[in-house]
Amino acid sequence: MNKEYNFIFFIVALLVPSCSGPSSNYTEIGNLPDIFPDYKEVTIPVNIAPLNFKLTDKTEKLLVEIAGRKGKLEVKGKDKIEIPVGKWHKLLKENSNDSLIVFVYALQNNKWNRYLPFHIHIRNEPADPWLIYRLIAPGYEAWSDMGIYQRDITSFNEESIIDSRLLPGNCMNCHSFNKQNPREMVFHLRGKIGGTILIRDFDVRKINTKVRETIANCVYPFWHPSGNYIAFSVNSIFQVFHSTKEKRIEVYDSESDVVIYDIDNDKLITSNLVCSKESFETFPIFTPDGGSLFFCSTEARKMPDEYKQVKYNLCRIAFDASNGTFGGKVDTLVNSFKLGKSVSFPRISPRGNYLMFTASNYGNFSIWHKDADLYLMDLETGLYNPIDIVNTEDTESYHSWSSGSNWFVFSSRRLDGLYTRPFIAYIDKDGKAAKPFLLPQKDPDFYDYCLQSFNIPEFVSGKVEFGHQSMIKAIKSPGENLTFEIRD
Amino acid sequence: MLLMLILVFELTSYFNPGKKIVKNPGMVENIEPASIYKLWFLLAFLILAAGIPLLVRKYLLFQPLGSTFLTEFYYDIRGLIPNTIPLLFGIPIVLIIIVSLYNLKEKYNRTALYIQTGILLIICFFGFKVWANFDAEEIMTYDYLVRNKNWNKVLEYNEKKPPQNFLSLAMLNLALAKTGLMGEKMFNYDQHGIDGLFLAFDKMGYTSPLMGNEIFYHLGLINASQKYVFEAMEIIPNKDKSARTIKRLAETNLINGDYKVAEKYLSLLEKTTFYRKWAKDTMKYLFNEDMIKNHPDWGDKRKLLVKNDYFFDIVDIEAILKRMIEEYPGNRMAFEYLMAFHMINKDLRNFVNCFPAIEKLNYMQVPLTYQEAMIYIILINKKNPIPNAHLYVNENVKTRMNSFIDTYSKYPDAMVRLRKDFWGTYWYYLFFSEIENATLETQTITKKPNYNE
Repeated sequence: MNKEYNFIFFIVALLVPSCSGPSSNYTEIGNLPDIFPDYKEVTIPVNIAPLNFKLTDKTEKLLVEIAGRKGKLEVKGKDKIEIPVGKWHKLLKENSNDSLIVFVYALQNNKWNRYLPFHIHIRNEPADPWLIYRLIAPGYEAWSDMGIYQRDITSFNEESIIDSRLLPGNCMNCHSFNKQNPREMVFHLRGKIGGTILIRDFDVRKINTKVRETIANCVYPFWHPSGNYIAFSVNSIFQVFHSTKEKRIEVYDSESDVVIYDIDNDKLITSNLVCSKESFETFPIFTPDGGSLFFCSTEARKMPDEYKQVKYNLCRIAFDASNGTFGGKVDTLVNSFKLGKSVSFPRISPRGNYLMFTASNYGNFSIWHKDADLYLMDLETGLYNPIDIVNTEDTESYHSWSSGSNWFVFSSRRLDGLYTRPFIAYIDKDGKAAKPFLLPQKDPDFYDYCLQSFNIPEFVSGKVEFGHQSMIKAIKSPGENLTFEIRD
Repeated sequence: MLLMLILVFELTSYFNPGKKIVKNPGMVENIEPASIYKLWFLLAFLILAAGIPLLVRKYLLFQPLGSTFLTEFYYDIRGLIPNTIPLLFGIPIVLIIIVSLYNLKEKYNRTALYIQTGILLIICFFGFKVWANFDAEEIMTYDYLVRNKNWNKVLEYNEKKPPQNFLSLAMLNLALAKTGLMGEKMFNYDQHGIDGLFLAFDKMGYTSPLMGNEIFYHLGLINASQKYVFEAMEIIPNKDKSARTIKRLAETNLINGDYKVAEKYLSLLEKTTFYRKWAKDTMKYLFNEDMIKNHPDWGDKRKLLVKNDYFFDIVDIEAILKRMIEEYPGNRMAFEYLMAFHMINKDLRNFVNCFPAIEKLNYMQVPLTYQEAMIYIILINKKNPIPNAHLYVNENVKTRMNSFIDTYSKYPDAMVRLRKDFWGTYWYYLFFSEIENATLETQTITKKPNYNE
């Protein structure tokens, strides 16, 4: 036998023990594995990418068995596993509306141990396959790289929609879609070439949303289901920096109003009922039938002196899309003083039966408030409660519904208290949510290394596409100006 | 640019088919490029070289056209190509053209080599004169010494290289404060205004927030230090992250008790070569309140943490220092910075107002510059501004004050006469120094800062 064959046999001899699993030669440990991300007993959509994870206990080797009633998978790793995408999806499809049982074996001190198994519950209802978010460092005034990205949640593909590579030094924010439709998108550019970028079926336009009569550019958007209007708030936003260890940043509005952009007529319209000096109005949204406009409102206060006294109510006013007119009265749906908290980011489920909102102790920029939690309101009864299963001691803030109304994504700072991460949760038709799971990544260590926050996670039913040349042309253009009208 | 270089080479080779390549050791002789590279090959090469970046732009990286061809692989900072880069790529192009036009005889090779070496040396000399930034060297040295807490070495370095800009001066003043010499000797060093005490945040340059964070950190303004260093990390021009900033963020978060995010930063540092040991050692402090409290640095910072919240802004630094002293009357460094702030501003009214806080600071002796300020105030007011003010001033200082005033009132050239014996006193600063830039303006290395800008 020559030297090369000797070498090959040596390698094979080395590999054989490492390929062999624990089979029955292991010790049962009486506790659940400590894994990151925590995927124990979570409920997932049938189309989600593999839930790769790592064992945080010290281990020399790892073997994971994922079994359903039909089929099973075995994945090996050192201290983390990367599940093959194709086999994972096959397993999920074969076991949809059922559960998978996961056995984790760890080679520790030359001895295989098996942890107590856990389950992953699969729902047959898919979540919208694309997630759009902005990646930016959770900093103060400056940022390094930033951009709006789209992630295929059925795989690990992430693509940039627009980022600071294309527009160095410019900020981009507040991306919004009409009913999770990737063909109708709006977002803002800030900086020298600032403007609002409107994408409708590959047509890209740049709009100058500041008019003489309003206090600022348009900020927080929400599309009318007809696609003919976008509701915006206009806010004078300020940022200040705390000195005590409990808080870092406070973002507040010194003034704010609500306006509606009539897309076809290039006009901002509003009503004195949503655009008043005596109140701060913000976060407008339309109901799925388009007949009402919800928004958050509070009595105007001297800012920042009274920043802790600012608590927003959830309000509603009728809106007639046929002629762009407002109703004559404003109803208060959630009274902040009764709730004892301030309401932000109202979002109605696409079916129209539930409204999710963020409640925090004061103000409207809840991402910097550890007390911020998600609440769910039954729009039939008007009753609302915190969604305990998704809330933690840390911040839960922005949220977005999937088209089918049975999944929502929300941002949370629960992992480390600073970097915002997207979590997805199932919610049934009775409004009962399941344990959320962290958006899976190919490398389970991804979130440890990632020094950017996931801002404004938005579910979208398809991939966002537009002509790059039209985008560049629109960005370079001076932008279209709007007219303004108050209608009562 | 690399493409241009290759193209020129290919084209000159194509149009000079018979020319032999200059002989070099180890190189194959008598290669005739035109026999290998045909014109169609050149065209294909051109199409590929231009087309691939364009395809990348269309399908992979949505970016400006310029960045598609002149990426950060040419220069670390995206979107910026300094003149030296085209120059570096241009020189070989020129040389190739020259070589293709003139067939140098072998016997002149040695002469040509000498000429080339000479030209290179001349270019190096002038390049060094034009591009070497000694201001930056000075700033970086001060920064390095402060970052490593070598306070005495900062003072030693000052003997060789006195600060020429606010960045270095702020580091020198911090070293004075840390060695307990601020009140004693501050005016032994050229003071040029409060910009030499604190560094304002500058979005355009990371130097100012990076160095400015050190001052807040050592003062115990941990949130401000954290803000500055986070911003410094975000505005590093090449978009990379710096281990130094991450280390400081780990520290500020440990002090603030934000252990989970501190752990994240420490985990990152554990993957580095030079910070691994520190990170591993520091991991032991996570979630361990007792260890933090007993740490010689972090424990002290913990004691000084701000109790009553307010919004931090550098322009309010005077009020902030007052708050710090109110919360912790024993905070000597905050007191000395506050007094320095007033004295540098020649604001004697506020100096007097803040002076009584000295009672709780257990000084063995009132710092010399405070005595000098106090005796001057007594003298011009002809009474004690605070009860028993004269008791804070020793007899020697009183005598020297009289001598100073005597010379000052007698001689028109008092400034020159007094320099020998009184330079370094507060009186000399008060009478003869002008306050510059008392606005906490931002400072950066890239702006080539000096006091007059």
